[in-house]
Amino acid sequence: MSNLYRPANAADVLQWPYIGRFLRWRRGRLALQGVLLLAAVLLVVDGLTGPQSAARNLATVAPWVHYRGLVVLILLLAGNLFCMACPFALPRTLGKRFSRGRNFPRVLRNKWLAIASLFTLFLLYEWLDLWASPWLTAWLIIAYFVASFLLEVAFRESAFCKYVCPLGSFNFVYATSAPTQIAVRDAEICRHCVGHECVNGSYAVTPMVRLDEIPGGSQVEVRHGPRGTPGCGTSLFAPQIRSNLDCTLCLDCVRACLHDNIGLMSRRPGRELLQPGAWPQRFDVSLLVILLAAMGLTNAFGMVSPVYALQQSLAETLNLRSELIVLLLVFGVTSLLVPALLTLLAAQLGRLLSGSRRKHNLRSTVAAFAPAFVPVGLGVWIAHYTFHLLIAPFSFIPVLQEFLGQDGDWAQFGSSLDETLIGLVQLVAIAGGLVWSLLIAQRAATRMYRRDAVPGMLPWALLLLAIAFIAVWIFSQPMEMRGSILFS
Amino acid sequence: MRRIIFLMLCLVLVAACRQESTPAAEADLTINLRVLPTDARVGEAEFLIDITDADGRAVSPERVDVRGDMDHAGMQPVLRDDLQGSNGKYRVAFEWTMAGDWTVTVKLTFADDSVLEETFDVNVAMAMEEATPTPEPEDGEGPTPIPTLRGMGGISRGGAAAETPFGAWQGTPDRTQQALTQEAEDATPTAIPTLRGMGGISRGGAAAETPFGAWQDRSGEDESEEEEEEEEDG
Repeated sequence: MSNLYRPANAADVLQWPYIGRFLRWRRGRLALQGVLLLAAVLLVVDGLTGPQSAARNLATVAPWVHYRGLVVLILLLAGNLFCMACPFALPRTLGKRFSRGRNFPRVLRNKWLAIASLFTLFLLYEWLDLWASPWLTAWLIIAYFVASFLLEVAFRESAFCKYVCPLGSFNFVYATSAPTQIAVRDAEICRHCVGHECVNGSYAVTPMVRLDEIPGGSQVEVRHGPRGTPGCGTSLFAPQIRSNLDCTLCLDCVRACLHDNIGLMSRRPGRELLQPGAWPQRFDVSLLVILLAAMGLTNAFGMVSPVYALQQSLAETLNLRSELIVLLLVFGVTSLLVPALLTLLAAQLGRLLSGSRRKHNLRSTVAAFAPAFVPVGLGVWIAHYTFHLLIAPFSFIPVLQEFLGQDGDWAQFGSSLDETLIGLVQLVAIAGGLVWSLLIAQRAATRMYRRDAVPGMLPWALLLLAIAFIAVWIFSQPMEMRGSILFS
Repeated sequence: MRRIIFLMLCLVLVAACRQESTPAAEADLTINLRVLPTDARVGEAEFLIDITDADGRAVSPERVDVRGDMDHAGMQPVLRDDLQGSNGKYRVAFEWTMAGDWTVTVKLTFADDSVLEETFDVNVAMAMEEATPTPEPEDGEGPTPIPTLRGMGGISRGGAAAETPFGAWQGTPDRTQQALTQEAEDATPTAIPTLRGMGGISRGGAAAETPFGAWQDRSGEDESEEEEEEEEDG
């Protein structure tokens, strides 16, 4: 309880009229989830029964174009709203009734599984051409529901959200740049709170009443019972939250806190990226962030023609017959192996150049600079996903019209925005991300190396510049989308 | 929860409202799509569409629409609506806006509002300066031999075109182009890929698994059929 934290000068979104009231409402999240659940059912129905043309099916248009494009923008501008309304968490709630109450295995209680699930998703995306298949996309959505339910049945905490879900892991990482964060209003109240309902919940099989002493001599009656609220699914303790990592914005903590002491506070965007100690200093967390930026590059690389030349060349050189193996090689090397090695190399070089080898170990050095990869990584993802969004931003309308049995008005709603504008958006996203990243790296270097900050930062700056330049090169290539050209 | 289940059931019912077009093959119609230039590359192109019935006679629907979609969801479609043509022959300028796998859908609407659709998968390569330019037919000169995609769901994804069995060039030659194409056909007797109709919009990646149509050489029937048609028209 000694490490209580609250962002400075914070305005509480939950106090806003209408929006705040809705979010605090006991069924507020359920209402949002219900809307997305209906959307998910609609996608699955159309994916399994509708036309198998990706451009004319909701199962492919909605997730691969609109969801992705909107989610990266919302993460930057508002926060992790998708996890807040995530429909996959609904069967999770159902699964909790059958939960066996086991803890998730200790060896898996880290972000290595999240890295693996993200890599697997992007690999499957390329291998199975998910962008082109409504049917497979529908099954992917179903698989999400099933996995969420099974993990909730098997384990006590929200293991799927915290350790497995690739979408959630993506959102966790880039929500660190958001202008909002869960925080407490008065740390003194938390200091004297007995039940810590924000994390433990106020649910009990039999009703229970407790009186909490609050500073100032007042007492608060605390009621637990069957109608109580669960505590934080990812086991975050509200007064100690300094980062949006692992926060699904479910607001269970807000509803569970019987002192009404928790809010969704505004903050300077990406504030936690500048704060030492906001993130755990672990390799898995640091590499999740850095590798996700690299995956942004490789995911975009998969839609330009040089990737096909590379695959062809690899297949011929190594005499490979399996497309999966070739893709595994291309994406394993470019999004896992090389970035991880370059990260370790940059950290080692930075320590050498700044003469601080004895003062800072490799793990803490990587952890200090990992936040710098959030803005540039997000810039790459925004450049990629907004490209798809802006190419045909209203294409969901004729697809929906056709789903409802009408003729789709493609002439009116199928058109693209100006290509120059789209290119400008991409360039601004990458350049803005790079500048922001360099500022964070410079702050980290100054904090760690003092007068030797410039040489200590140099390898990291080169790495960030390389990411931005590779991104610009990829996005300057003409797009080429095709399935396998090697093994059809 | 009951409300949610009710709404979900409603959605399933709504999904049943979707208009289903009949594949051309089921209606015993054949749609031939010929793409110019034969080596599809990013840039301008031209489609020659030839619609015939089971007996090889030309069929002229009330309306013919063509659209091209990239394999990736959300890409801007290329639309060519209400094509002008006669006697089941249609010619339209098209544009491949980017390289990759395309699905071309030819939609026929008849006077009784019935709709037939045929899809063709086309693999489009990057634009190259040395790419074969679109042959411009001039008086007395025909275009180069044209691969005819005969409504099959077409050339399969991922450059598999070379692996597809080639069928004979089929369908009644365009009367207006007959003279133009005859010279080229005579000069180049090589088989031209002809893919038969599979109908509908194919599932992603499933096109390669569809059976290809039989080789049908009707070149000998052309003249007699035309004569018959002319008699009927008269």
